[in-house]
Amino acid sequence: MVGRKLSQELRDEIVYGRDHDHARIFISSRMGRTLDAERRVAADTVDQVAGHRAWFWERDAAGGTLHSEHECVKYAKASAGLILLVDGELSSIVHAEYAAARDGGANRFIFIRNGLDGLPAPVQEFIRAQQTRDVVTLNFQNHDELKSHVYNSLTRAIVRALNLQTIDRRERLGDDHD
Amino acid sequence: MTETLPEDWRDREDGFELLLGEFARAYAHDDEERLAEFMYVAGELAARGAVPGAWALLTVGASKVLGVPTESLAESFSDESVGRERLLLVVASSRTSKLTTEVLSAAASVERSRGRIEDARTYYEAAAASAGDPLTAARILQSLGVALWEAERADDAYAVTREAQERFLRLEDTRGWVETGLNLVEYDTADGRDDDARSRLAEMDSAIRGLRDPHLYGSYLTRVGLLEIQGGAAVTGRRKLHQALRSAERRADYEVQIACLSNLAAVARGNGDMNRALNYSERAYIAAEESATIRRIADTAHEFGIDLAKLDEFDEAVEMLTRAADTSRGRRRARVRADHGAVLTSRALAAGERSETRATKDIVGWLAESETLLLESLAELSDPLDVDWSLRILRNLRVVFLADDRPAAGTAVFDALLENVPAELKAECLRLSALLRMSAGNDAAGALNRFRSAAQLSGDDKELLLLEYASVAANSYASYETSLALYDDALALLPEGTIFGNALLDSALAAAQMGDTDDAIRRLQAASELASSRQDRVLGSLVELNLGRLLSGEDRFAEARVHLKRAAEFAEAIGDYERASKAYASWAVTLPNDQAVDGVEEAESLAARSLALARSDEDTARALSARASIQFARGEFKDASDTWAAARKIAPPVKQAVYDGFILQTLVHLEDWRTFRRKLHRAVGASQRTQTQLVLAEGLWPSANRWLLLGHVPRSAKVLACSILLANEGHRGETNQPPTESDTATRLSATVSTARAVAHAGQLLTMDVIPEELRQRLRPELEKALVAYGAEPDLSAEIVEFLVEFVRDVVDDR
Repeated sequence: MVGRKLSQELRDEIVYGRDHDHARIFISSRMGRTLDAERRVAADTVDQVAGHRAWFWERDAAGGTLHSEHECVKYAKASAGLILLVDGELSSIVHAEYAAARDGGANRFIFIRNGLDGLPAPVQEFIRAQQTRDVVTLNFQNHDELKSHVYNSLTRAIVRALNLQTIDRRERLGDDHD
Repeated sequence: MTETLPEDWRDREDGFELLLGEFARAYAHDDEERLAEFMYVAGELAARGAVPGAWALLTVGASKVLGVPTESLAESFSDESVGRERLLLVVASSRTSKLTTEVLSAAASVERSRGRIEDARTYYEAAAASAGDPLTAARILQSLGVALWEAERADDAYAVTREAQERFLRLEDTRGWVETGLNLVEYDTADGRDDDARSRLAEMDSAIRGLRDPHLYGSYLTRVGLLEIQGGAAVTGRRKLHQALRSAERRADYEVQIACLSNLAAVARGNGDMNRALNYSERAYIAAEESATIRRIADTAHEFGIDLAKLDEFDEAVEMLTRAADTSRGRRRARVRADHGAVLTSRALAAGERSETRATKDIVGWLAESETLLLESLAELSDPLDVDWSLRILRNLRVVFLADDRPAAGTAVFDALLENVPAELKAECLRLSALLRMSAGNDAAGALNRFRSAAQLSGDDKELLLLEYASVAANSYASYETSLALYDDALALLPEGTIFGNALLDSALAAAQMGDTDDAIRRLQAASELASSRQDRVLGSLVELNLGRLLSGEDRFAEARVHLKRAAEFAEAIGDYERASKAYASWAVTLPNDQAVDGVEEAESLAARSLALARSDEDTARALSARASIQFARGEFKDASDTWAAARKIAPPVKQAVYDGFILQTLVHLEDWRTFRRKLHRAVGASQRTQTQLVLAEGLWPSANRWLLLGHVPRSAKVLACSILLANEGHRGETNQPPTESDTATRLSATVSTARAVAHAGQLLTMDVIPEELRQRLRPELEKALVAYGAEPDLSAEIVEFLVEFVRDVVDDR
């Protein structure tokens, strides 16, 4: 008998020619500020995780660097994941992108440069409100840490979507004896 | 159209009779003007699927243009060649007359409806050249543009339509200019040039309103609405689509109705509202059937079929896809058939879920048909190659072989495909062939070679693909040797940066799973140095946590604590409280386990920190378990039992089985056999309900050991028998399923766990540290216990003999 779990796993693989081959990860942050280099670092790392492709405005939008709320919100909503980089205030576009990604069921990752404490109170409040099991919220202090966050988070997300095993195994050594 | 043919001839039962009668009259009177008017009916007939009738009209028309005798209508119906020859003569004749233009335009429509775009293009271009007036020529170009778009020749379609629009502009024909403009908007939207589409629509806004043509305005509104939705203005966009739809329904304007309904269905799909999408796509299909246009029927039946399949309405889905295949041609038909194959596989899998046996006649038949459809559509899409669809077909083909539990047969098919497929598909064929080999579990070397070749073919991304394959081999197939080889290939190519460090970590975990702890530690130490030199606390926290745990497992507690401390600090600094809580819990547990130090107070403080950082029930359970371990080490068995019971309440099933094992251990120390027996019974029941028998089987060994050392041989035998039978049950429980990815991993893990349970039981029967007298008494008691649990007496003796032999073999091998 085809087990239910197995069957569902296989059925999920059948694509009817409709679905994208790559999971799109939307890179979000306040633009034209201090995180421009980090946006590129995050996007490059996303592209290095097999099966993933970053979408960020500077590279992927047709209209150049002029930020369009409609365009960004549209892509955020249709993305498999959203990486939000934070280092200060958040603009209304960033809030709209985040809300669209949440409503679209995307995996959400919030990476904060140098931690929550130095951020303006409304941003802290916003991030605290997101700190649930469904949202990854972590700090970074340099590009390597940001890359590792992106790599690990996407690995975790792939696993959640596909077989829920990898990250568990990565941290499981000796766990049974705790 | 003509003076005597009624307008509603299409709706009348004697419609064709009237049509042919009128046509014959025009022919008999040699009335070219009227014959020309009939030619477009040929195109209409072809669009409805009546190709032979269309061809007969064309033959007559072409004969008239050339001034040669007409073949009999019966012959024209059955043989296209005469008509085709005459049409080519018409093309070559370069005549300019209304009849010539109409004959060639109609011939183009017929060939277009059959998917023969090159023939259609020849006729359209000749028709445009034969047209006496430039407006007719522009309109013919406009039709050619649409035909090219339908044939997926986007660049050509755009160029021809643009030229037609410029001609309309020069001729000051607003309608033509608007119609071609709307076509260009459609091409822009499909290719993602939304801004171009928007500005084009804005440019034609007042012209469209001025025309006061409800069909054109409906088309315009549909496109505006869709663009608004794509731009994020969902509410106003949907409102426009509904407005256009209502108007089109009142006017029985099927083209606009279908456009609105198809777009509304797409929007609903995008929002994940499949029931709403199905409603719209069904209405679009009904409208297409009413329009009696083959192309529209094919497209809407295809979409409707897919929506039905996504909602598991497979019977209707297959019916719709069959309708779509019957009404489409060429590459569109190949895609419909590819989807048909995929839907049949889904149908087989869904039926398998409901059925007691997989191999029902229906299921086997659907999978066989699916395989045929996928292979045929793959061939049909190979020239010119449709890469995206071909890749999907190949992936779905692998699913067919997994669903059919014939992975080995699948490898043969993919190996054969490899010989024939275009270069663009070879890497995917190799990857899928490797995956099927892993599922079949009989050719790890072949799988490794194919993974390597697949990565090699991909060029620039080679090392990243090797990483992906390594991860799949480890996590989905528990094939650690293959995984490690692939990680090492990737590591040899990666620059020493973040990805390299993370890959090193993953390779260490594969090595650890293979039992090569020394290699795992070496790799983790290298990763630790890298993380430290790059000040990467994210990688550092993971590496240090695993290093600490591996060293703890080797009883190298002092070293382990150094790494677990770093892991906790790093994890806290980056805000990963889950990992920090884990690190503190692991660190705490090293202290009571370490004979060399008296660190119980420190352990308590660390366990408290772990508890404080816990963000989930699982974290909290782990922290509580650390506290219970400390209580256990202090000899506070009752407290330890209560703490583990509290952890158990909130833990996931696998951990519940682990904690049950710990609770039972405390009861042995309390020598409370009555409670032990009751709790053992409950734990076994829980593990059976949650399919965690293998975990509990391992968790029972310390209790069996302890009862034996306390001299309670029958009790030890009972626990041991329970462990053996649970391991066996857990192992069998997983083997009813055909192998695929995570299932294969589970099955291999089960085999390993069972072997370990057997080895442990064997050790108790043979180990020197167990007094000889106890070991001698254990053997018959174990046989008795196995019988008490339901094993046949002969089998029970055989099991015990096997256990002893098993351990002897293992010792000899070492």
